[in-house]
Amino acid sequence: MKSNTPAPKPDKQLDGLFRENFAPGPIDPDRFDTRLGARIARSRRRRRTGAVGAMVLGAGLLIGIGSSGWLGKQPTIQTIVAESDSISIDTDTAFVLALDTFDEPDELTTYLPDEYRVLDLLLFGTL
Amino acid sequence: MPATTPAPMSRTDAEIASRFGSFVDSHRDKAVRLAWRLVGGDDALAEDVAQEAFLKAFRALPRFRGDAELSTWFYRVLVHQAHSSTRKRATRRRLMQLFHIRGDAQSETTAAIPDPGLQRRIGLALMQLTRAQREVFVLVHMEGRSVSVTAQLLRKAPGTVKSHLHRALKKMCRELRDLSPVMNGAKR
Repeated sequence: MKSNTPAPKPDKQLDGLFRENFAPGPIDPDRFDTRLGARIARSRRRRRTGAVGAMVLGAGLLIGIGSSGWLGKQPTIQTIVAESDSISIDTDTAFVLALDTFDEPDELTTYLPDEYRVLDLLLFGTL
Repeated sequence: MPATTPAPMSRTDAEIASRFGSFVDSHRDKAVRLAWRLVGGDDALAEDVAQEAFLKAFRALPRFRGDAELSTWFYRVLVHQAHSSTRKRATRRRLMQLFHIRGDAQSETTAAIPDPGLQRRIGLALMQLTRAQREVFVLVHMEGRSVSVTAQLLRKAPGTVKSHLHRALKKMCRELRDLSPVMNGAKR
């Protein structure tokens, strides 16, 4: 459908007023890059810790799954929770742990669209 | 925390680091300036927003082949990040007011501008706009991007961008009409 809204007329004087009067001062690139480097390093450490945690949890889950004797069934978090009494983990905790491995829930929805993949993550700590 | 020896960089890591370094060099100033304008002129928040967007770009870098594709994606992320951070700041301020806690004032600005009063007024007027109006206004009128580029960046139809722009400009002129003859001229 064609838009009836006219294109705003370019007004250099007005744009100039906004640009000149609303701009930050110069930034210190070295300081910025140092802080960014530290942020990246911190993020990587968090991810590694999360992956190790997920692997430890995954090993626990595997033992629990094996001992509960339901291997071969469709693996979902709910069935693990329901049938694996030897592991003290509920659905919410499982999801929170999976979410914690990522910084952004967006990433989880992008890469892990269903419970099976969440389980993959919990078991193997990898995408 | 004990110091850890960094793992040796693989060739791929080194390539990514080099690409990322160039990307940061090319976009650092523009990113901070855009973030600063979107958050209403807060230095510390703008730097945080820009850094968070760069961090996401770093993680996403292997998925993109060219810098052009990455930069469109990067600025989209930055705009979202600015919105999210502004909302968090507003919530924090409301909570602090609720519990009568002082502090968390907007950080000092380093802006070297001709008229600090006008800068403050523009910042306040910008924050009166809706999110969509503020984003298109900053991108087009302050950053000088075209309507079509802005539409692509924000994933909106060009007609929608024009409509938001029209309303935003009207509101800005109403808020600031006492400040400049230029604004009085523009409101017509």
